Amino acid sequence: GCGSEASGSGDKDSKTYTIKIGNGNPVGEPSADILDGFVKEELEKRSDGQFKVQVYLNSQLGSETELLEQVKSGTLQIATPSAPSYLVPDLSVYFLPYLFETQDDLWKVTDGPIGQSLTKQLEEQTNSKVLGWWSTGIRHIFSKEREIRQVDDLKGMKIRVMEIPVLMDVFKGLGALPTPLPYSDVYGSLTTNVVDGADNDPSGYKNMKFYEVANNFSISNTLNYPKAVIINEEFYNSLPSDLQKIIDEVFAEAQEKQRDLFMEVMDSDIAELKDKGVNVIEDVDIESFKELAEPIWRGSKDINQDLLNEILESRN
Amino acid sequence: MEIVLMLLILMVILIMINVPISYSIGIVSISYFFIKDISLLTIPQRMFSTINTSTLFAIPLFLLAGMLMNKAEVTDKLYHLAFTLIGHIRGGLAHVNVLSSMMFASMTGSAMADIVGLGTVSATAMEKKGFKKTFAAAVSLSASTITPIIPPSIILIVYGVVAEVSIGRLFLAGILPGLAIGLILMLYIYLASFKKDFPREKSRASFGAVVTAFRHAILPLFMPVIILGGILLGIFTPTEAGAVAVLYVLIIGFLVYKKLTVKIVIETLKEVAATSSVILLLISISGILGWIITIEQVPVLLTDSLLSLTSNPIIILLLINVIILIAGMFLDATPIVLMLVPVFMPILLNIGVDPVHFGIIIGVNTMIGVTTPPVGAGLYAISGALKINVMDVIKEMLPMWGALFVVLLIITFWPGLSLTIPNLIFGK
Amino acid sequence: MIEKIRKLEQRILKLEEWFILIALACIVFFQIMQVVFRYILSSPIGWVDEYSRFLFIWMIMIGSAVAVQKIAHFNVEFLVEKFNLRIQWLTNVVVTILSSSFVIILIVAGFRYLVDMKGKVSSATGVPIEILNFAIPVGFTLMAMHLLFNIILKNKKEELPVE
Ligand code: NA
Ligand code: NA
Repeated sequence: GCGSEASGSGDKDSKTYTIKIGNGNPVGEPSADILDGFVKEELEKRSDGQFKVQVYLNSQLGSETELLEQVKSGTLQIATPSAPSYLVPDLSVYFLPYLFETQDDLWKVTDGPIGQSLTKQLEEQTNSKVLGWWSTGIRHIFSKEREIRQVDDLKGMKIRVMEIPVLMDVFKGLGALPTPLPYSDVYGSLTTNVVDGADNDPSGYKNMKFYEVANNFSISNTLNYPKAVIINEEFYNSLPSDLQKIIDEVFAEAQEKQRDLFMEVMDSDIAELKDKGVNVIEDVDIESFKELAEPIWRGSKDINQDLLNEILESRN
Repeated sequence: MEIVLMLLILMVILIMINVPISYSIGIVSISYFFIKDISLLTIPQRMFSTINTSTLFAIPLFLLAGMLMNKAEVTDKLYHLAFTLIGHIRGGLAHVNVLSSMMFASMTGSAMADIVGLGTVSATAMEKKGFKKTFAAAVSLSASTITPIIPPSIILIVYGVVAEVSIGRLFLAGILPGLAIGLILMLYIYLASFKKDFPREKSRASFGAVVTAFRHAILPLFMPVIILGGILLGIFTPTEAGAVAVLYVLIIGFLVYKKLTVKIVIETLKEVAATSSVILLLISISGILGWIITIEQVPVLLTDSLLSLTSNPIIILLLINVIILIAGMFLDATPIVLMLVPVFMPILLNIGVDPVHFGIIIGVNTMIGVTTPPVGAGLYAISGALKINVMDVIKEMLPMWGALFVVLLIITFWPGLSLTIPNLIFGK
Repeated sequence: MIEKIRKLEQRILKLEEWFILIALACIVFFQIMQVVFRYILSSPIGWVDEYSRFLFIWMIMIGSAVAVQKIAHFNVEFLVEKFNLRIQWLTNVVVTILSSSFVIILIVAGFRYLVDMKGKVSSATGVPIEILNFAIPVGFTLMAMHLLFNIILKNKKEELPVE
């Protein structure tokens, strides 16, 4: 066989546990690199080899949503789904534009009491324990022909959006024609003008080679949402407390590293994109976007208005 | 690793005793879940995941367009034209089959679209002109490997993302190898025609006959223009192009040729829906097996043993090709690229293989896999669509696979064939 | 009795065939509609892709049941044909048992998946995901039924009439 399963083998002291981690990012993206590097190495080292960690990147075992389901049913031990609003509708607030303008705004809410209640809802829905919330970078709009310098430039443009209901309202609210497409179809759809643009963080824009077909990258700061790191609860509870502690510690450190690394990578990626000849537009009139933001927050039926008020009040 | 090997052997036995192939794959996959005590919930999830993509609409849509073209008697007109043009050459319509696939390749990126659309139409036309149906199927199947090599290409986009290579470069790199596959297949057909006495016209058609044939075929000839033009101008996606093709055939079939009736259309829809369901259920169930192979880290373990054998670049490239070919017997192109590229990339960079060049190698290799048993969606699609025995197609495919292996070797050991055009346009 | 069962099977088959042909026709229609709305009217429709995929998966599952009735799933017969009749009979029994177990396990797994995902909504349009997840248990239940009919009625392999 291929080593013992999560249930373990051997006598109590040297029992080994296989941890299978599923992730949807390519090599070079901070979550992928932290999981396959720091997390794997430290879990195996600090447990003296009692943990055997197998990392499956790049959606090899399924999409982020499917990986979450596999953790829920105990097939995988750990996954990193982006704010799964289809399971916990309250998480939709993370997809509102300009609600979390900076990483600090995001972590203040996520690491605070509001974040704790969201975490609890997610844990109940997925039979899992949340080990942390990681960054997915800040998403900017990029386009093929027209340069996006202010919100009016978006008028009538076909923009690919992720398949999340609230994002239809968001991009309609900004004046664009939102077109939901699977991630894998974005490159081809840009090539053939099925869409005129899309949005992504600098790292995804670079790794997916979108700059080859859509060369205008507008620093529009449109979206900023986190991804959850979840572990199957039954598996976690079956571990002796010293091993549980190792998992908690490693992922607490990993969270800090991942968030910092994403900030660094976003800057270095933007510099690299400029070197590649990408038209990086930095003087975007963000105020013009923000003027349309509040009506979107208030107008979308997918948003829990009480939660939104709570977030806004927590800032005063 | 051992468990996967055991399951694969069991699967072959089940197939041999006449268990339907999709059930055989399903039974061994379910055994794995029981042996490993993994939640059965993952089985429906993988099945849904594999077919829950609009890209696969291309299968029923292009199949439908092709079938309707047959019923509207459009295909006959098209092939009559082709026959008057080059039917007198040794190999006749078999050449036309390959050439039309090369043209089709510049419109679509999936081999399945070629097989179930043009491939079926071409083979039917060949049969009507007196070719053996199984030989015609084998020509269509072999020619379909060109489709994802000549740009655009779905598999090269997947590769470009995984290997972090420019997709623009990959597309350009595919042009010459795609043409090479076509030329070598035509060379094989030409040589085989001496032995097999393929049907052909006794003499070159008169100029008047060609003009008449052209006049009759002008509307169907316009269809690739609409499809290609529509895709290039961004009016529709390659998948939607399948639906537009159906609409176009309906229009000319009802209004111009007047061969279609509502009853024929309903019958065709029913047949196509059932036939493509069989193909797609197989693809869906293969998704479970692919997942098992991935989670058992079979490719990683294979690579480790490969590197412990040799460090000779030529032998490594050969061995890598053999591994991909074996994987291609059991898996679809996309999961192979997703699993094997991250594993092989470090080795390849180590022995100085250009990643763009390797993209074309793995593209051609995995497309051969689409035509090989026991799991070969293309093989079953063409057999199912033409209602012929899979074994008879396999017999006809043997020399064709020989020709395809020759192209694969040429592409593998002649980097210039792939790299000249992209290096010319983008610089080194 | 046998005639009654045959009639029942034909009636079910007819319903299934109408279902899959309408599903496929809708997919064609939706795809063309999307082109018109996106390119000509500049207002792409959000639900087209997801609804089409749901119909597509339902078509595959029901269509696979139709193919069971016609004994049209891909198989490799060449080896079994070489055996003597007793062994052929034996393999036939084994094949039937294995096929039935597979189909029954998938009905169970499909139902469990359905229950597990209860209350979730689809990612793009927010419709209940049960609409999609019902496809496997329903499709495989129909497959099991046709397998049973095949045994009772000794159905013979039928060419799927694609020409
Ligand atoms: Na192509
Ligand atoms: Na194959």
